[in-house]
Amino acid sequence: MSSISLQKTPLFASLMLGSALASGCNRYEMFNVAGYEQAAFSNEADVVFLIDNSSSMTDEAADLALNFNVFIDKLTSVDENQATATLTDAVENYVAYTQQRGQFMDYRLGITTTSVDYDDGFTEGVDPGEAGLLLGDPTVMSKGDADLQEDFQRNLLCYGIAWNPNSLDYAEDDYECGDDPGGVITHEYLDCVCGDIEWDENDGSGQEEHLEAVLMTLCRSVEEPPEACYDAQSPFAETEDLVNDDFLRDDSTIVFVIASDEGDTSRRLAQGEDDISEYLDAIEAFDRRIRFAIVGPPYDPEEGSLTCNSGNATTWGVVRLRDLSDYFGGFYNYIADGTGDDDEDCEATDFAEHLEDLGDLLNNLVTAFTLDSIPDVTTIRVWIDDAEINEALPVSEDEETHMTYDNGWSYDPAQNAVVFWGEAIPDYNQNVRIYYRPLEGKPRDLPPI
Amino acid sequence: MRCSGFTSIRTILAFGLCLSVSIPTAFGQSSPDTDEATDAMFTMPTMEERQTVFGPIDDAFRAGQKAKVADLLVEVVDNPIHTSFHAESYARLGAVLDELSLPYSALISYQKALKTDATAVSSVAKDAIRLADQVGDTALLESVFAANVGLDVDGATRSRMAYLAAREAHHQGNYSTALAILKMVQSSDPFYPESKALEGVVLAMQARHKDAIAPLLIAVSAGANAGRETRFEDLVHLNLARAYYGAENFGRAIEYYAKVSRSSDAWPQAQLERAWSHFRLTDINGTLGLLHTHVSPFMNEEYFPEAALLRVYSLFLMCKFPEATKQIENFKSQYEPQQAKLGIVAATSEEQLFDAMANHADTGRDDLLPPTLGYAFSTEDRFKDSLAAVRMAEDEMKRLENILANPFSAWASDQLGDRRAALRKVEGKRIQERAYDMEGRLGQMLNDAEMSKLDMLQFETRLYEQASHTGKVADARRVVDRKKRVKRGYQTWPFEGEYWGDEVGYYRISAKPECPTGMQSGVPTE
Amino acid sequence: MTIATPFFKAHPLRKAFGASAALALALFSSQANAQETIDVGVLKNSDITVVQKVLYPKSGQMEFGGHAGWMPFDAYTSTPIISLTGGKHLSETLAAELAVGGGYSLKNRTHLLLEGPAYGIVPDAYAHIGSVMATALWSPIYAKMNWQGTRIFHHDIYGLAGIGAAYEQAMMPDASGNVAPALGLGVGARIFLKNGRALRIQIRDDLLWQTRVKTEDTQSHFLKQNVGLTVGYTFFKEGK
Repeated sequence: MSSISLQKTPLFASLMLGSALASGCNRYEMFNVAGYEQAAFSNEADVVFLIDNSSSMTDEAADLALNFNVFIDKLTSVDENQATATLTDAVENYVAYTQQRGQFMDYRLGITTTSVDYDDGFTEGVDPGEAGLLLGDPTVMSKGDADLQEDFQRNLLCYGIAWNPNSLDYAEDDYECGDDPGGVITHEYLDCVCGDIEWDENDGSGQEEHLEAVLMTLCRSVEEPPEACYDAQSPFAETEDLVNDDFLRDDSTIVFVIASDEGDTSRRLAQGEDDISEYLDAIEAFDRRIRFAIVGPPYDPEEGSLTCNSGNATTWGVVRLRDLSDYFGGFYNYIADGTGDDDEDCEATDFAEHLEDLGDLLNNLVTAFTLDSIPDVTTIRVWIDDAEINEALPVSEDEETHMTYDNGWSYDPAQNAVVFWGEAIPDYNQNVRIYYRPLEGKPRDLPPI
Repeated sequence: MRCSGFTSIRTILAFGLCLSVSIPTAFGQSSPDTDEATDAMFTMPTMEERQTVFGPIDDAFRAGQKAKVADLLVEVVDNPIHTSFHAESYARLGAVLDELSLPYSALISYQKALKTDATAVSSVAKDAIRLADQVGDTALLESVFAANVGLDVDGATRSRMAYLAAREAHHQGNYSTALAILKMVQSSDPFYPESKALEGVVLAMQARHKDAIAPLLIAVSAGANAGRETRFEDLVHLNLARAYYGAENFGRAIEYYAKVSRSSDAWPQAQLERAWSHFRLTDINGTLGLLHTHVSPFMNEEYFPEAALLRVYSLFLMCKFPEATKQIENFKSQYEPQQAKLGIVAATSEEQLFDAMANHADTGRDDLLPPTLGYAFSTEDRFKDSLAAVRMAEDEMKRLENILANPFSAWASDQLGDRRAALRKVEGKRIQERAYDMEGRLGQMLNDAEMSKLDMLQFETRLYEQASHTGKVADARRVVDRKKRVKRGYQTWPFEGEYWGDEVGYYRISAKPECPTGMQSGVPTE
Repeated sequence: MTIATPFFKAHPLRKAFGASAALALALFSSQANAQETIDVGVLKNSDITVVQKVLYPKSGQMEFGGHAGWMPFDAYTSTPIISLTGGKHLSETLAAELAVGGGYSLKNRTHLLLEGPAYGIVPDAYAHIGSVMATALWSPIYAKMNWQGTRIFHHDIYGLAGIGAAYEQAMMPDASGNVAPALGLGVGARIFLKNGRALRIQIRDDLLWQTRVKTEDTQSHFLKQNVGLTVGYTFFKEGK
């Protein structure tokens, strides 16, 4: 009787060989699968506001500060002192929990600037807000803090913006601290908000390095920064003892909110270079969920040109920012609107809307699931913890951008994501599996032997 | 009659008919006890003389002093003055030794009692038979029963006695007497199957082969009813086959040879004799097929020279001279060493041969003994009984050493020692004679084989000359090569020169004779 | 007396040629015309056959048994299987049998690797649940093997063909079931043991015509092969 000997082969090669042998006999259609990470959903969001503190951004930054409450309201419409005394209270809370998940986002906020060059700052060293260091006091603002809104406004207005006192108005004589500024930042308003803080001494760098600032913020926020942080061009190596303590949490989603009227001029890329692979790789090295909510110069991708370019942004600089939000997900809104070539037809967009979008982005963190490929929508099948979820029916009759649905899932082509609605929204740590066949056929190339 | 081997085809039935053969006693042809017994008959003891002799013995017996009783009885039997009391003394000594758990010594005492005056002590016959069965030495009683068949005993005892007596008569060559005695064996006797088998053998020895068949058939059925082992059945089948052969009913002979089971030690011999039957029916292919077993490597060390020579002759008859010549060469190379070894065995002392055979019976082989000789005796009932008896005697002698202070112990030890020596000598002599006989016949065959080889060469040369002149083999007589038909439930395997153990005995040869025109093949009419 | 002597001396053959027996010893002429070797006067192997009673007859017997094995050849699943068989031998070479089997498919390493985070691909593989097959077995070969010269094992080799059906279930969470008609082809061997028992080693390929609902739009029917390797223990019983 003969014996069969098996030679040792790399495991995967033998797997593929075996499957190649048999796969010639048995053919199977392939489906993409998404959602294999059980801890895909997390209600923790760490939001970094990356402020362009150049003088051209003064109005926009003020607008952000004055409309900040919109953002907070989006996330904190639930009374933090909700009743919990009776069973009825518990039931109501549970219903609210399942239906308005975003209200239960656990967020932290921090503010830094796009300035990486710290020589021109308040001191010769790295000041708060420079080279990725968070600014303000406290530097980290968390959900549930008693003076969250006040802290955020104070940090932003008093530490983050390089005011030009000569261009600021003065309030009416009867202005008292606490009065509504009426959408206008005045000397008196800033004195009231900032108190002893010298708000008129802030000075930002002339070089807006959005990508480098993002990277530096991340480098200072983790215990073991990756190798990309120690690049020779970066100031991190000589200042790595300056850290953003207690900001980033292990399982949180990081959202960078960037508001800028200029393009990116980060140091690691050559002028005119719009390929940001080096920064993408560096940010991916942190292995975190990251989203970018960018409010930047309007860019027409078909024309390849900028409009309402009050900040004299470069096309390649803006493309960098757009590519950043496209790659990691999020949104890119225009900081100004208009069609004319000159600034007279352009208007600054309402920051309230951007903040509302930011709120939606955070909310969607818990309900939307991005797919890797464009699916054949008819083949999408969804399971949560082995229970199949049906496709949701639209309940909103209007054709506006934000259509709403009843319980179930829907496919959002804009995000290329499967979005959950109502009772179908998966609970945290539930196992979500989304199966679909990509439009192009084979989901992706099979791994090589 | 020697129960060892056969010298020619004519005396085939003389081989291996060893169901049981009695042995001569070791006590001489004329016993001095007989003379004493005669004297005792003419001198009737008085009561006072009896009391003088047996009084102390009775007293000791009443007192329960068995050892003293034995001692006193030994004194009586050793005293030539008290010859008239010897028979009774032996009988009583046998009884007390039996009670002392010395069965072999007791058996010897009973045998002496019966030999001295069987009529006077006929009542001990039954106990003697019982003890003989117990120690395995029934042969000790054969001669005494043969001389006293008409003893006044019950039917069952007489039946046992008759069987033992018949064995003695057969051993002495008194076939008519044996037949007459065997008629006294009852159908309820435990040895009834053996007695019927013996009857068949005796009839065959008288060349009354046809008459031998019936008792042998009865032996088969009686043995089956009595639950005899396969070994007994095989032996009877073998003898039945021989009886049919002797009656020249070769077909039936073949049938019964085929019934000998493959696991039996007699199977190769049965195959050889079956080959002879085929030969007598002029079925040369059948002969060759059966003898193919004996030329297989499994039989290299076995003693079957006749098979080799029968094969040679069969090949000769088919004009396959080169093959026959080759067989002769093989015969010489195989059997010359065996002849030498048999010579060594024949020159060895009887006692040594007995010990070697005992070793073969225990372990399955012995360096001194050739395999065929070893199996012939070590599986034979008679030798096995003798071996058991010798060991029983040795055991009892050891136990007697513990009570040497008693005079009866020395007496019993002497008796046992004598008996043991006698058994070893007699059995050893049988082995020796068999070896001598085998060696002699083998020597004769080897000589004749040389002459046959010369004859063979001459015919072989002629065959080749014809082939060389004509360029082809001369036309053989046209023989239809029949397609082999195989019965349902049978499987055929082509033979490629390999010998498989499970195939031995199942060979079938379909060879065409190659005798050219002008040369005829045939078989002898004898 | 020997066997050869009396016959040789009395044999008519010898009488006929005894006088001219003193011939030359040359076996072959110097001008041999024969161009090929001729076997003269020898007993050839072709003259000899071995005829034995079949030790393990099958004709008329019923055969029942249990089998266990594996289906390891699929690209994405690995399935342990068991089955029960029962049949009748119509002759020594032909038998009819019914086989009922079941299995429990497991995802193999390739499957797990593909659906893991690195690739995120799931094949629409189907798990084998059970099957029923009616087969005809043809065993033209009966052989024996010699184990180290001490034991001989008899065995036969058979081929089988049959039809049946198999039930399978998708391994994706939809678990859609499917009953597929099947054609079975295979080969095997029986090693005969004592007391009417046998050890059976068999490889059978079931060809399924399978319907898969999830891909109805592109392709709904697939040809699937379930190649199973089994080892079984069967016993023979006199059939009625």
